[in-house]
Amino acid sequence: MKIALISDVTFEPVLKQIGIHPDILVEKYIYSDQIIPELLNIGDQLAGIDVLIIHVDSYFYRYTDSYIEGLLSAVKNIAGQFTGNILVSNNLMNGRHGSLIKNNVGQFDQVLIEQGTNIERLLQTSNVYFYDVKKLITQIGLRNTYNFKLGFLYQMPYTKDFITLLSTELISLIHFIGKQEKKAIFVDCDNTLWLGILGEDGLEGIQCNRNAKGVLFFQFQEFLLEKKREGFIIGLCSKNNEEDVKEAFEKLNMPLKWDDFIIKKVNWLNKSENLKDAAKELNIGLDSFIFIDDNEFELQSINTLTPEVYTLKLQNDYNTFLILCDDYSFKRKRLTKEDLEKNDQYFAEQKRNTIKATVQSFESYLATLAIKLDITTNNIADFSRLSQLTEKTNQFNFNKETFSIPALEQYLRQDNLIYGLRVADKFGDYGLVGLILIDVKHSQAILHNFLLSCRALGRQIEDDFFDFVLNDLNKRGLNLKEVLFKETAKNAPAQTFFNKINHAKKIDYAH
Amino acid sequence: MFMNENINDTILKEVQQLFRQAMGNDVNVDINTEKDMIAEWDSINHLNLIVELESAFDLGLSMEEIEKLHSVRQIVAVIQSKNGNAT
Repeated sequence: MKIALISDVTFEPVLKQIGIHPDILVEKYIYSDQIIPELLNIGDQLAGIDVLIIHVDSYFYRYTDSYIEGLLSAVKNIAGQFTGNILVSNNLMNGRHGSLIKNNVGQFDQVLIEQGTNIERLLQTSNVYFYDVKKLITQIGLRNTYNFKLGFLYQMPYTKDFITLLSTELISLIHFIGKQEKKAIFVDCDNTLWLGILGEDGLEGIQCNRNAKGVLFFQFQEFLLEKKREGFIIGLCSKNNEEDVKEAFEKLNMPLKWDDFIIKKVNWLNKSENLKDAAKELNIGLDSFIFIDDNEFELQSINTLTPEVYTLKLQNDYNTFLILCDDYSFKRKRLTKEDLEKNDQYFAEQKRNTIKATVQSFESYLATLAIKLDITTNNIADFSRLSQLTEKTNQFNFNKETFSIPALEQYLRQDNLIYGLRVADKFGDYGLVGLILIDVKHSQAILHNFLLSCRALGRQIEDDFFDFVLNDLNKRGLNLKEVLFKETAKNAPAQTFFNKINHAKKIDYAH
Repeated sequence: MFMNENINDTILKEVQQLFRQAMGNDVNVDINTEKDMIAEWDSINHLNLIVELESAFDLGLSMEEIEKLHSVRQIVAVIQSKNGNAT
């Protein structure tokens, strides 16, 4: 991943630690005490760069409010031009103050509130992400973060401890931005969701409550519930008798309920096998799984047999627990409406599967679903979700290529066509699940990409979507000349459909 | 300025290790090494070294003291005087 960095402090000590990672290459580094003009000019120098980091330390430099306003404008300016991702330090604003109370002890400072609003707007309109410098400072304290003598002598105001924390945080965030988000969290039960072993201690012996012994597990369940609301699938993977575990959820008043878990693998089988089955049932890859257990043996077996699964160890120690909750695997870039409705969709999917089992022919089954397709063309309001689709879709994807929202806007400006597909059936609304990109040049059309979320596969929807686009191109007087397709390890479903289309012509990419 | 020639070996060893941490594992200094003697001791690595020193010895150096640290002998002397080893 190619990084460019611009900073108002000397960043070499941090870059030294980041440079240890072979997959991160710092291509360009600008230090300047006149950072606003540099920011305004940097747009031309970002060819080939994936991530731009903007590090500004308002606390050390004690920038005035009007200077901060200028900084935010400059950042917004680049965000509009740059098609990669931008990471900004979150002590850009409000650097001198820990809270919204500045000088008046009984009142929030209006200027700080306005800065907050401007920053929120900045975050909504482009690929800007914050790295949480304030969280790091909270962890070790201001006095252990800043060394003012060094700062004034060398314009590098950080202690060694802070340099280490900051470089670790940046590396985690850069990796997170570059990878797909996790989709499912599977957890063990004993000593993970409650203190104790259900089979040995019984219902009266296990603890998950607000008392000293049970509080960590109570908060962990609340944490999982929060993740579920953010669109994560929550599942159980425990070596126990299913009836015992179900009874525990019914009789004890815990934050999670039996029905919060979409998949419950409570049996005596190998946990790796259970996770593999769960992945098939959910139609997602094992590499989008997080697995949490207290037991070293179970964790090691998962790491060995299904190494794509990301594992975390839950320990009965509160400080460690706080660190676990901060893990980047639980983070989201941005929540969309689809994310929040995702769990409902997975439940609806299970209902569809039970009906499927009892119906004879596939065609008659499809007819019972009463599938409705709704296709929009060049609809900018859909770009947030469509951008997410380009990031997350692997199986039905003709050419894996991520488009940020500005990149989609630019694609549209070049007179190309962007088709979005919404699907609903009798069980519910899937939301935006399909995307077709058409390059338009001199009355010729080229199918640049065709994506369909895995939720919409297996229903012959791709045929209808493609037919609609062909008809629309016809109406516009455009001829579909070529279909671009690149074979990957994951896109076999797309390949099947590609072979079906008559205009098929496989293109091999040289890079 | 009168320099105390009573060199504490433990301190020297630790300083040598900090040079390696700041400038690279190939950088081996001794008590007589000065800044212009090694290529790696440039201004950026000087900064890295100061960061390591402040962290390891909790020195609370003044700006003048930091600016004067251009040889290993000076560094060891400053550390010893802060730790009350001067006689």
